[in-house]
Amino acid sequence: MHEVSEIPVSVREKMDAIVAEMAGMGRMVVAFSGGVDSSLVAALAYKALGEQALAVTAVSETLAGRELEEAREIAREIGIRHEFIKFSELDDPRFRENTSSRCFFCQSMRFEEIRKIAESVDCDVLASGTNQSDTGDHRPGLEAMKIQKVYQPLLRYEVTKEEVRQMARELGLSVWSKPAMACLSSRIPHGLEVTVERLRRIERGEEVLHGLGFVQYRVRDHDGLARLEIAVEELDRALAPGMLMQLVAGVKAAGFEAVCLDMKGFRSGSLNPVKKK
Amino acid sequence: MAGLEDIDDLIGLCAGFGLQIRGAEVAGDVLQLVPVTLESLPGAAVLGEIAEALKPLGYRYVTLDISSDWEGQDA
Repeated sequence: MHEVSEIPVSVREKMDAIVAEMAGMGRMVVAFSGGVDSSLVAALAYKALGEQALAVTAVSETLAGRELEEAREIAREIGIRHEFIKFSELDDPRFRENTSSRCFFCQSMRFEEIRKIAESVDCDVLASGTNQSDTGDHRPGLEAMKIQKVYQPLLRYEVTKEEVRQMARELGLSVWSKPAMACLSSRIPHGLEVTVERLRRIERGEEVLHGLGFVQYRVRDHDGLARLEIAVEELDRALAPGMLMQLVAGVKAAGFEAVCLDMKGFRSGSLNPVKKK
Repeated sequence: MAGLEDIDDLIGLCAGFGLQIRGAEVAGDVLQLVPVTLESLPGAAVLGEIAEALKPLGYRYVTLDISSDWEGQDA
């Protein structure tokens, strides 16, 4: 912990308020993906509750293998107890159907599974890393969490994504600058079935980009056509002919028939339904 | 959604930005511009401008086809 705070007073006050609130909650299970949001909540819960806090990572086909390993590492870094629970969203045909409500079914199943672990340790508080910046986009998963009465401290205290990163950095979390990764099914356009085959080729394709040193990217699966979204600030590097050839060769080897490069670069939620004006 | 009836107009528009294409393909919401070569493509900023200029065509995603014809090129 730093001696002198480098974060704005208002942000520190929010962080202190969350810890104080958590301290009065007894046991808590944090839905933990290893991303910066849930890592922050896990760190705050551990700070407030110590061994009474438990991080649970729900493992399914939509979680990339590398994310799983990173979750394990960050939990160790925080010091919080950590468990995994396996489930499959693909068991639910409503999820596989991939309508714009897909995230609702996924989050419903996820929290039902996590609740099983919570109940086994006599805990009725489930927490998530949802923050204020999540509310402006198409997020049917938030409705599922509302139904499940999930405690969302970052949302409750109106903590924005930028403030999440400030807090995480202040707490010394190595993931403070980690790019958002989101679930792999978010790479499949609505209406196209979510299958294991598609999820795995997306994962393999994104591993290619990771291996080539890109930081913020998505491989969107348009039924065998890979549409690469790479952050604008990294796009010039991608456009070098030698790099394009490596991208194409790697992504095709991952299982795609053809590859195209999005000219606008990475946009979070680019496959989400378009809001009507 | 607008069609691509006049491919020459599209080729001309892209050329105006320094991007040489030999055609375009459509796959659902995705418009793929097929570059003449993968060498000497415009930079990211210009590609973004082209995508913006093509917005009236109505495709949600404007992309470069980078896989159909790169084999054999000396990149």
